[in-house]
Amino acid sequence: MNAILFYDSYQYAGNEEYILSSKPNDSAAFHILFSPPLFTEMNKMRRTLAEVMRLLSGYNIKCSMPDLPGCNDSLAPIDRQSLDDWQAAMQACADQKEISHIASFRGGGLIDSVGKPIWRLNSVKGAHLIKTMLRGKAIALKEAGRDISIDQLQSQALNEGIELAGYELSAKLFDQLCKAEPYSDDCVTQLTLGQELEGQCIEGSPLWLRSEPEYDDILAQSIAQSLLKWCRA
Amino acid sequence: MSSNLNHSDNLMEDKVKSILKDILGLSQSQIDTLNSDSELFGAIPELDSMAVAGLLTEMEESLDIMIDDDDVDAELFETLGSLTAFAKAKANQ
Repeated sequence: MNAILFYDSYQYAGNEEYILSSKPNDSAAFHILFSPPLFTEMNKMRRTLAEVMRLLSGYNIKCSMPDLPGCNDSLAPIDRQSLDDWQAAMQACADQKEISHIASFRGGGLIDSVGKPIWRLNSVKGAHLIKTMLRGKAIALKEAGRDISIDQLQSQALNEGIELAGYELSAKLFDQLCKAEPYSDDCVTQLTLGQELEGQCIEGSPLWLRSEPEYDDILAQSIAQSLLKWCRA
Repeated sequence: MSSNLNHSDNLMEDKVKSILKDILGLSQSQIDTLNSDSELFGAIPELDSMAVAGLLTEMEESLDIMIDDDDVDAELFETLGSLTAFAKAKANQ
């Protein structure tokens, strides 16, 4: 079960971007592309998602989790990215790596439309992600003696961009996130933590809500089992 | 009528406790010890000012309420009872 994770890469906009991939012992029957959570939620879930990749490689399912341009180890400037870029990067990744399925987590559901069957966990509107980060910034500013309302921050963000949770968001990305919602059609299987759907229930903790990155083995096992069933269905 | 009110209060308190558990990563035994008089901000180390941002947004999502940040002050997070009363007032608006 201790399959090796390794770094692969894909090309987008002239840059080489990393992909964390798993290497099953035998030839893989399926290849799942992870559409990662966005911003700090990615950091909070990364270890658990890496464990999901290890678990699935034991069933000869290959998984790949890309760095979005401007995120994680990407050298592309974050302040020049838009949601369109991230969607196009996911498409490039899917095209270059012969993906069979998509598993998207939280904000990953905003950029997972690449013409493959989609499994989603707790997808979220972009406005929800933005509001939490704006609140965090307003609180941090207040503690530093600067009382600026969320409306003022939002107005500033739409005009000139804004730094939120360490991410320099362009005005375009901010605006797109405020309006973005996960699309839905027949190829999307939508799951919510703790809620049963067709005999499946994802168990564990909502790590994306926590202040710090954590690991949850129950969540990793539950996601892996659900993805295994879904791929084989 | 009174027992219905208490039941509805308890329901909201349970929902708020469940959100606190998710946001702060508290164990079920920690959550079980909380009652309406339990102090929150300052008494639960996990509830720092940054966790408050996530807590408010999750309350909006889970309880289907809108929270105006101008209504939010430290007293709101004084006890579980004060937070529950706030959530209930928002839900009734």
